[in-house]
Amino acid sequence: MSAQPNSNMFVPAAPEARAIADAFTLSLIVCAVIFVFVVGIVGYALIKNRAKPGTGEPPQVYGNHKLEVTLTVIPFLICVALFIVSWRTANAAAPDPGDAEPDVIARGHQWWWEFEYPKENFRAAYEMHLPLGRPALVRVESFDVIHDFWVPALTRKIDAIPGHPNHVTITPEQLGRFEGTCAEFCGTQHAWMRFQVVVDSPADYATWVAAQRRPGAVPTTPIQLQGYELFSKYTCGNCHSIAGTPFDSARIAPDLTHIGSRAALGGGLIPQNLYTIMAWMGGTQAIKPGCHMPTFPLTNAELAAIANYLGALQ
Amino acid sequence: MNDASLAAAPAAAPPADAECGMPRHDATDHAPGFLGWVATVDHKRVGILYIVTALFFLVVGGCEALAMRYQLIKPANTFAGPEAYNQLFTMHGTTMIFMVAMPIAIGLGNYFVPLMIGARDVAFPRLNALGYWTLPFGALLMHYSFVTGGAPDVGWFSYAPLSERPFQEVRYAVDYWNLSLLLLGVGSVAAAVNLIVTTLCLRAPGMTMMRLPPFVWSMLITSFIVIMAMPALNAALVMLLTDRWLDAAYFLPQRGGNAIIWQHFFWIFGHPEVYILVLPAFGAVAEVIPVFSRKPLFGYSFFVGATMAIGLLSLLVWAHHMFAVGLGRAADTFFMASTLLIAIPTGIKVFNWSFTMVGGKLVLSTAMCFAVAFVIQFVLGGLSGVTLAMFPVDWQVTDSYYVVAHFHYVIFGGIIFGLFSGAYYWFPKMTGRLLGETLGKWHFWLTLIGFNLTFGVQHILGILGMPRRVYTYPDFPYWRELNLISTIGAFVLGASTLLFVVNLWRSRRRGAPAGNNPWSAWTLEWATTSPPPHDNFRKLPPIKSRRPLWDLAYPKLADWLVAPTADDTGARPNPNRIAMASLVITEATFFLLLLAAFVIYNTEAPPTAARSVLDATRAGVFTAGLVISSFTFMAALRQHAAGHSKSFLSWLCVTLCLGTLFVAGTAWEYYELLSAGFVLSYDLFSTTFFTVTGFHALHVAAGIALLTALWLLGSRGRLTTARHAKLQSAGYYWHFVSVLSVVVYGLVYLDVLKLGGGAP
Repeated sequence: MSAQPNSNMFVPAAPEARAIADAFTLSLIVCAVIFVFVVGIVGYALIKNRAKPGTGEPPQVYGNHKLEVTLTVIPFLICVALFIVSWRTANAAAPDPGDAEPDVIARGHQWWWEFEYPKENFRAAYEMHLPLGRPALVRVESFDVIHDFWVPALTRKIDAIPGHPNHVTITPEQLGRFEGTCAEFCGTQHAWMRFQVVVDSPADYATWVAAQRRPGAVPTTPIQLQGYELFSKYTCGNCHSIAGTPFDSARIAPDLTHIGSRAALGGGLIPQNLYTIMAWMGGTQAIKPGCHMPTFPLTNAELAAIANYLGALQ
Repeated sequence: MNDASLAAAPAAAPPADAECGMPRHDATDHAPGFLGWVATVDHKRVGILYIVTALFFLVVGGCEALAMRYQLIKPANTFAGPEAYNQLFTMHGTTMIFMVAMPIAIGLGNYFVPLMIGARDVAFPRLNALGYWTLPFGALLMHYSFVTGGAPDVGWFSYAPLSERPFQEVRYAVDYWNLSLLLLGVGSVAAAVNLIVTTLCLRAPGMTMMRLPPFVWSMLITSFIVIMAMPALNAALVMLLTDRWLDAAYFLPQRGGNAIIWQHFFWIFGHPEVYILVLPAFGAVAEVIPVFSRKPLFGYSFFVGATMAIGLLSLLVWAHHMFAVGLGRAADTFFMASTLLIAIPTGIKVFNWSFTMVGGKLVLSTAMCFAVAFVIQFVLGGLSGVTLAMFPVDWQVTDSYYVVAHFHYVIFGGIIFGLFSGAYYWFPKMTGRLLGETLGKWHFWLTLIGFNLTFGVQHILGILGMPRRVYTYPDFPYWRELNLISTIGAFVLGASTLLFVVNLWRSRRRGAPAGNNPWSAWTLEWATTSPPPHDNFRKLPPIKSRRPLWDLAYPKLADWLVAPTADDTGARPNPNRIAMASLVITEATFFLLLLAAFVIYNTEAPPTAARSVLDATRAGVFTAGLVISSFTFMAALRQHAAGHSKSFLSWLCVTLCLGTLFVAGTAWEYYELLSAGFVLSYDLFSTTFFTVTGFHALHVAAGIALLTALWLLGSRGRLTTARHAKLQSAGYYWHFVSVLSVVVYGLVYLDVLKLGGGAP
């Protein structure tokens, strides 16, 4: 990948994230002022009030009710202000979705993200494409345990909880790729449950959607055909599905209909190309230990054939 | 201290009229050697056992942290794989919280609370020893999981459903974790009850509540939080065990359960736990800063009030750990408000400490250095906590390294620094020798630098998008550099802790002799020898203010002249009654949570066939019997007070029979349910029904055992009227299970809340 995708909450690329960044900045300024105040008091005492030998005890001061009350009331007022700021920020960062149908369903699996587009009726993995400038409602679900959907530059984080669907809104304002990750510990490979949000121009987005809706490319070359046969022989279709083949019903593992079009494999662990597909299938458990896909004992020729078939699924 | 007049203060002979209020121990001294430690019931030795055990686990948990930081030193490192890393962070969190921070605080409380209130021991020395021994055995149970195929690897919070069987097929680690925490919880509650009773009942004459040293106040409130919060964890653990071993589905959404309830129950315990850890450190620092500023604590009553406010509010903030769950705007707003509110009493304490220093004469001993660093670092942790309380900000930074930085600033920068401060301050009292100041200063500066290097940069890592609990990370801009800095800091921190251990080891025998009061401090623990004798005091000074030893040193400037406090009325509550009341509070909280679970899981539940087997009338008869037994017990009490031992025993016997009938009735009902195939895992109604009624019947059975013991004592003439309070306290428990039976009957059999789930 060339330029690093953005994963910085202080470089927001959507109004939802910007509202939070602004509130965060404000709260950090308030905290800095309080911190300087406390350090000032302690620092003053450290410099001015050191003990000198033989000078006896200092005047015994037991308290000062006026000062104590003041120092209770001022923090209270600060809290009230922060409360109001938060309230307003929340409305901007997470508008009430009402009964609207989601544009995308982001579904967490151990350890990858599935992105279902219910209106267009297809399922992608790892990459969630969104069109520039249009508010997208994302429903966040889980297939198994609790995950968390987090794209720092675009919107708030929200848990993906089985039996408890959640919603977030994203209104992308910048083209490009934005880093996302699972942020709730979800088991062995929580670290490699990353994803990307790709913001396309409306035209590019339409092209992408049209491509994703097509069934998987039919194998044409002999090696692709051989790869397809091996895919069938080694029961890959029990977990993975490829639209347009008999293996189009499994929902356990990432849909491979357009795997050749994605930037990475294994939840962001390795970039996607023919060699990494081979490496992945030949050593899944070595590359991503504990992941739910077993390592298949394939020969290099078999690996190359399957990789050729899958890589062509653009 | 170099002030001659101060050094003389403790040497002044205490007036003769100040005998301790407590009878002396029968035993004169400890058994020699190893047995003297294993068999000890002396609060001071028990305290040292706690602290030494905690130090051992500090090293264990610290090594786990170093292993984690070494794995994270660069992107895609292969030092520890995901399985190992996940075990490391789970054990690190669990160890540091339950086997380090809590035991050190309880250990210091054990050692110093009786000394600071002028008592000869804690109220229940044997219970105290029992409480300690749950710690090594609980820890052993937890670590035994290593040889059963791996330590727990689901985080110290064990979020369901990840911690459930379907996602943990072959491993029993979660069960060891679970049982170990239940055992440690029992120990903590025992210690807390003991400290509550000791503080309320065993104060020396003159030691009123408003003259208690701030550390004692802090331990008292901590103990109250323990008895209120621990049961929530116990309830959650019991439900998880039920899921894992009896095939229930409390936290399995896939089978109708609810994974969010685990989080609620866990954090109802988990957030107060933070205050359980932090209040003792607050207390220690509130002892150290005044002594080394040579001034009394600024705003004592505000400090006490703030401690109480924190205790209360701590029970109302739990869901700020759950802002990302999607609980809705109303819940998020409520928990933001309560969390912002708790910042206010916490802020008051910061001002208490800092204004104590202003205008004083600061002596920068190692203890004071740690205390000052504590204030500054705790403020940083508290302020990042304020940003996290604002739920929209939390939506971004929760579960990122920003949170890791935040709570380490509170727990390490705050609590551990506070406890280090306490260690340098009190070590001379415990051993008779000063902790080396030269090594101490090295320890302080290395800890300060290492700590801020390790955790300061983690704020930025979080803001740059690095999530928590990842065994490795991609090579994003600055992630590599910041992680490297953090790891270097961690190893500096490791080295500094090693220095501390070396210092402890050397100073224990070869440190400079401390004398009774090396710091010219003012509280009662300094009015005795270092270490104190077995029964703590030969003579107590008169207690007429918060600083009895100041009054002795400066009679003309005595606190009771300059800033008088209300005099002691001499009234002390009865230890047995306070102990039982505390136990009932903790049990009631446990049942409150089980009953809440019953309500939650049966609200809008589908109709259940299990209800058709229940006979509400018959259950009503047995419940009425149990309620009547409360009255027969009161009759027994009256007869006992009047000295009519025969009719006392008869009434007690009637009470026992009614209680036994109730348990038999429950058994009968269970037999019918189980015969009809309605086992615990049949549906959520059955699960909650068996959990609630089962635990209630178990408690009735425990009550029966207690009353039987009293009956046996009574029948042998060992329950004289002088021991009436013991009987009264047993009554608290019996009335509790009897009142509970009415609640259970109304909720479960009569369905007064109309939860749905009636017979189909």
